[in-house]
Amino acid sequence: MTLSHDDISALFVTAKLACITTVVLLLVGTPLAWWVATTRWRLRFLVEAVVALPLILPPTVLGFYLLIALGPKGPVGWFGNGTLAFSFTGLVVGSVIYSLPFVVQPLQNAFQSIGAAPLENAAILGASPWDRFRSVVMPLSRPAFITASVLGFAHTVGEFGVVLMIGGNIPGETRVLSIAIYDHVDSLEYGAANSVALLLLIGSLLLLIPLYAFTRRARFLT
Amino acid sequence: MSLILDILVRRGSFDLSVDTEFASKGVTAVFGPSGCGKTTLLRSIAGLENSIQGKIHFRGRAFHEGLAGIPPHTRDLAFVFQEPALFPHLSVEGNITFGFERVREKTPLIGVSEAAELTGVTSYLKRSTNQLSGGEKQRVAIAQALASNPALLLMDEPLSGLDASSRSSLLTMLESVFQKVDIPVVYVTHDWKEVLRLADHVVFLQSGRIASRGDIPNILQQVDLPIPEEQSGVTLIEAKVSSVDEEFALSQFSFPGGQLTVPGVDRSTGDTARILIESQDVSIALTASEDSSILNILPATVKSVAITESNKARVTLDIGSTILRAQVTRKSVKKLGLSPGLSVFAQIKSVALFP
Repeated sequence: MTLSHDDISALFVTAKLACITTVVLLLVGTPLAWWVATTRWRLRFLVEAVVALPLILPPTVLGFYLLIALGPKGPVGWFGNGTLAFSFTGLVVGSVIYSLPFVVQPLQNAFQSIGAAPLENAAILGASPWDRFRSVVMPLSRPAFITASVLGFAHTVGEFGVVLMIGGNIPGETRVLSIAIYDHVDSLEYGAANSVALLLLIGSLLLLIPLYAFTRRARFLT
Repeated sequence: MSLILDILVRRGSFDLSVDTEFASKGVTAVFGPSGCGKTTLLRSIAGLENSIQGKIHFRGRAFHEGLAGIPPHTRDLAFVFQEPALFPHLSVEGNITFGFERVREKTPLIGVSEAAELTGVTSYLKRSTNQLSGGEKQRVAIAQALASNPALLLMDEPLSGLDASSRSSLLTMLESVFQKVDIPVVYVTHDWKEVLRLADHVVFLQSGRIASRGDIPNILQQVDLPIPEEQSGVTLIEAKVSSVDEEFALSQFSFPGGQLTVPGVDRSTGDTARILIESQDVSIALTASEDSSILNILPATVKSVAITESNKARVTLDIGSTILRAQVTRKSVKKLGLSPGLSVFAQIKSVALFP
């Protein structure tokens, strides 16, 4: 059970995509989750519904509209010197949107559960808004940040439909592990498909087991 | 150079309208029933309330002017909440240090260990805040407030969420803190005994308006203070130690109405103290009995008699310009013929002494 050169390159593309996507997700998702958790805007549920869309929408629907939007005639199609569709950057954009609820929802729940009292106290004790976020909100939401990162990472590793629609299958650029499995099965290479599938299965388990072990302990402590 | 307020805060059908100046020294109690706007007043001073109109000035600095206020973290004050809002991710010491680390533009006078000592939390500095009882949490919250070296300390019913025994030990702790620390305090409460024990000034708040205000004990001479009947039975006397009787372990206190004998010799001659007397510990006699076990018998004049229940009456006595309240049966009122102007003797069975 060995991986071919192509499969190893797909592994690297997947790892790179998941890492970059997770970082972008945290950078985008944290302020978004904070805003949704604290805003008094009456229509905030609209934003929450849009963020939650990827949870229920078939990835192909999301992928289709992303393909249109990122394509040469789409509103955000031209980025640098080529179209975003069928590029690694396009994959990152698609993955971020696709995994957004997995990052925003745990963070939003954690931010809401802190409540106003510790933040009011921190303000009274001289902490500026950014200081309050850094020294009260972040440490109190640490389990949620870990959950959000792992879920965002794992979900990106496991995505298939969106990648297929907007990324195509360019080896070393947009060919990820889930696509590689599909290709192997398509060519009746069940052994190779099994190698990659097993790798994903075990890798995902190794990500999730410590996550649940950790969050259970964290819940017990607080 | 103190705290000047002229604000209007609207909350639905309720509005708080306060135009006053708080003393720049000592403890000012804001006393009133629940829903009178005490907490809103305190939170407005701290900058935790929205839609305030008017001005809040502290030591010449505008906290709030018109419709806009400066953010709470720039106001240089501390706030002790009714429910302690400690940081669960920090130890007790970490919580106390939080405010200390953020002292700006001045040399801190109170250190972390000093704040811990004043509030009696030194023995559990390393503990997590989750392991603390309600009383211990509130002590840590007070230490946290003190270590932030505020120019003004706001306290919102800090004892009302506690059981009776923690309340009493925290009250004693607060008395000694207020004696040692020179920070003006605004102390919100609905417990009149806390006012009598802790405050130098009192503001009576009713339905969002100031009903009365004054210094303690002078204001206590007024008979018609807005104090609920069930709380109004306590008399406060400010007295000075005149002699100490080591043999019987008693101290003699003098005040304008005479002398009081109090158990304990932990004070020296010349010290002043507050003595609280509960109305049910005061009985009335027409003659001074020489053969009674009661040590404190003072000549008094009946000022007023009010029937409070079908069998009880509240008698207000004047002992040399100090008002003393006694609770007697309605039957005794009739038997002794108690009426305003009558000369009687007040027999005080027990007294409680505070620093």
